[in-house]
Amino acid sequence: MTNKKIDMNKLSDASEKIWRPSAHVVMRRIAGETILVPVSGNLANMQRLFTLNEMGALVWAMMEGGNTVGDIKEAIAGEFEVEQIRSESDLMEFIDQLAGSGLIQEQIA
Amino acid sequence: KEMPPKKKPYQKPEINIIDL
Repeated sequence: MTNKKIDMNKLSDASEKIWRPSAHVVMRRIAGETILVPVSGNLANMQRLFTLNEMGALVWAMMEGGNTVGDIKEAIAGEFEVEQIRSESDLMEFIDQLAGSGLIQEQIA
Repeated sequence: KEMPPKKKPYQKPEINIIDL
């Protein structure tokens, strides 16, 4: 069991950011699974695929809609039974994973 | 009294990488 230190400044700074799905990724729902497939040109790169769970798919859909990180936080807090600090740190971890895999890009205003 | 709408159970957002 590890205790993660949460940087509150990082969480608040991130609220205004908008992350968009990369143009090189397509999302498909197949048999109840949400699958992300990297593409180059018109070809799918099938060597590495990504799947999202239900909450991950919800966050992805909100990113597609151009919502800020703050909007996504509020939507989760309003709809799900969870402590705000936990949902925020989970969301930031998820965004880090997506960005680290090149699946999303920060939208520069 | 009107009950507040019940919230859904929370699930951590997760990504799973399938390295073929």
